[in-house]
Amino acid sequence: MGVDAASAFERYRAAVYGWAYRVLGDHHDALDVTQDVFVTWWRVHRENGAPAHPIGWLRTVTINRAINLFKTRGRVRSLEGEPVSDLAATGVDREVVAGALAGLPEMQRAVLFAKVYDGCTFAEVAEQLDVAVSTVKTHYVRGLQSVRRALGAAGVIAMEMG
Amino acid sequence: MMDCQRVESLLADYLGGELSTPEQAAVDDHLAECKRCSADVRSLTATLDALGQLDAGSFERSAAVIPMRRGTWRQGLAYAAVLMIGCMVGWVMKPADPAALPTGGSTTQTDVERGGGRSFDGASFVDAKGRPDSFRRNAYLLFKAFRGGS
Ligand SMILES: [Zn+2]
Repeated sequence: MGVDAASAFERYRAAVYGWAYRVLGDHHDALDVTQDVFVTWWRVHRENGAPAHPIGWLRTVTINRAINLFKTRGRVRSLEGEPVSDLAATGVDREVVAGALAGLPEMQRAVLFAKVYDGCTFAEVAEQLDVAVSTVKTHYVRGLQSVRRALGAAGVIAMEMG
Repeated sequence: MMDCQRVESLLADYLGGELSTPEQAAVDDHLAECKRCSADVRSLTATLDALGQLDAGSFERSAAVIPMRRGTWRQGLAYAAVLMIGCMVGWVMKPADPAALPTGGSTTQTDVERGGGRSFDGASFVDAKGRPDSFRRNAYLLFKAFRGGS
């Protein structure tokens, strides 16, 4: 089976853009990543066909690309002396939350995105990523714990653990 | 009454909203009694709330930028490449060998991509100030894809 590049683009472009936007919070950056991801899709799969679970592949690759761009943007801003956070503008410190996600291993990020943003069940995520359901649950909890640690350190959430 | 260990083992399902109603009630009963578990769940729930505040933007605004509603993927790429090349006057009309192109920053290939069976040679691009230039990079990739080279 599999999904050819054109139908993958049709079906998943809004999702890819959405994942990228959540990390980057910028329309043009999200577009850059979307374009980049589908070009990569085409290059990687044109010979061997699409992966069995396109959404799992696309989600993981998109988040990774977006995080890389996010980190690069942060470096550029700090070099130029611009403020790294836009807390006042949005009410939520997007940079801190995205930064917390950036610190996670690839699988934890992918699971959190699937579960939190895409509303998948653990069983669906397991199928998309081709791992056991118990593994997905472990990644989910560990990912949340890591993000909690980062947000707690940044003062975004209260840390009351003894 | 559930013990802490049992609650911990159900934590993912509880936070992920995948417990049955009786199981969830049993966890809630424990949380009402146990300060340690309830503090843990409270801060993880706050974490979920914070994550929930990253919005997804709107792809609809970008629909005109990548016009591929009709036609094949290859035609779409060709179209995008033509647009890109049109914009690249003053830069480079024909990308050279990747080794000869400006590099810097980092090129990242993920496990998933590697598992895809085909290597990704994404040369990275920087502008005159050493900042990453994704426009040039994407233009290069689109152009390469359009030509069918690798
Ligand atoms: Zn307890």
